[in-house]
Amino acid sequence: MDTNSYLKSVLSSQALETDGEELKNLCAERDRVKSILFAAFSDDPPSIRYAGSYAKGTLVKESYDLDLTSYFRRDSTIAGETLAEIWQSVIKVLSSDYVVQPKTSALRLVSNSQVYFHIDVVPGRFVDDSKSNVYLHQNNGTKQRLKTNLDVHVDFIKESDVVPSIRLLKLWKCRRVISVKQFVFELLVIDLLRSNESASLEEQLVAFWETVVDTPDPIVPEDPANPQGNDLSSLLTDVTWSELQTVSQTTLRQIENSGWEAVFGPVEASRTEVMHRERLHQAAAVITNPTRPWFSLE
Amino acid sequence: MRKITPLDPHELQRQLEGKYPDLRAFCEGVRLLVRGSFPILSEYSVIDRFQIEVEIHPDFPEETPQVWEIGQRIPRIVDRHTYTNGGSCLLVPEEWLAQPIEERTLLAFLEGPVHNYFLYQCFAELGMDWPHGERQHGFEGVLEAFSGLLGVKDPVQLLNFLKLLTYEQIKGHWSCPCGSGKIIRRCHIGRIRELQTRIAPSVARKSIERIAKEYHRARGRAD
Repeated sequence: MDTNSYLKSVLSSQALETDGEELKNLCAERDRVKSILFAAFSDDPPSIRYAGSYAKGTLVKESYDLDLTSYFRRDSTIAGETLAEIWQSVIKVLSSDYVVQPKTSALRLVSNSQVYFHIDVVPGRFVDDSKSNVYLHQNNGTKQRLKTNLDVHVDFIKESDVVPSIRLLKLWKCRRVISVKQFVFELLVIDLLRSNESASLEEQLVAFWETVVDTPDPIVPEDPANPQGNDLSSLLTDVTWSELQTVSQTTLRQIENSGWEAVFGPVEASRTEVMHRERLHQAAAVITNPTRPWFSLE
Repeated sequence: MRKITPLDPHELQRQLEGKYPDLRAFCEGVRLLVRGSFPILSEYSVIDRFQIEVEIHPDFPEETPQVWEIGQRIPRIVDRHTYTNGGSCLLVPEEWLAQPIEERTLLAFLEGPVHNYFLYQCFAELGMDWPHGERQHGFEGVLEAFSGLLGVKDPVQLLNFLKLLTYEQIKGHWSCPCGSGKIIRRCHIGRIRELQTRIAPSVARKSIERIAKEYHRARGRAD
């Protein structure tokens, strides 16, 4: 198999199967979240849509969150007068069914038994009646609100012609646990591959890593939804850039020394739960020095 | 004691690359860390993956590395042997420290306790039993572990054996820790010599500290 076919196979293995259990469970949970929010704000319900990688088509199975918007009308006060009040109201409503973990502009939902559902809710308020631009509450950092636009983001990514490379590089970033925010990383990939859009997957990935390695200062992409208002430089600092450079360099070396499988591993075949269980038992059976987990009651 | 694991992240990176190409070693301040996607392997194929971070103690291999699951996949609850900060309780640490020092490499740690722990987590995730069992929580689990290491079940005897093992040199005319009233030379000399080869005085001291700490925690909870 040549490199491009290999990379395409890796991509296929990272798609959520449309009729799979995982997606069914996720959709069921999404419906539950939706009905909780609709019931709580039934007189003036928020707009609930997919956002994030699911909407943009950049999802990789190995690491994904299903972002759901909860955007209220510009002059709606059902969830509060201010963005901070909306944020708190949504937390309060969801807390009846979930453990809610506030992030910067999203609320992560975890079950009472600490199971993470891969669902984040993003509360916000539309800027005007066109229901396009939206203000998001910022839970940390210096800004209190962020102006953004989901449609602009989705279109920008989808029209970029580099979605397959974005997905592969997201997989690479996830496997190496590189601390760059997902949406900034996607914009960075588009920025760096602007002149390589017609190149092969292999060429695009190498171009990305080589550009990162060869550029001493961080390349900070523009936020297409608010180019003047959202400065992303605080999300791509010297420290983060240096981390990206180091890992990119190691990756290029791995390709040179051991080939592409050292970067993305063998292509993982789709599996049924029965097959998975069987393989787990096989793996446990060959352990020669079993260990037993413990817990210190600190 | 000879340090056998290089604390240089570049050297560590080279060691990891063959089997764990997604793991990267680096320094963050004074901390030496390994971070990345950890594969659960069955023969040569990857069954599953977990995002992990490992902190290598400056005194490694005389201290056990600490491991965290950072992908928020494992519920952070007692029954999954995971602390609220994602810290993973792979085993009673002295069980690892009782291995010969030359076998206590970072690779061996990853291939052994770390791999086992995350493989077991896959079982737990599917509602299956831990394939090789689990230690009881807290003090009881510590006693279980040390009973296994020393082959002694009675807690008093166990502590006596451990106290004895804290000495660099053990004299044959001392009282045997089994409580028989005989001197060691006429009682458990063979067993004690064998234990000395596996359990260094420093490990015995840490074991006693751990037993005491967990005992007081258990008492504190009971009170």
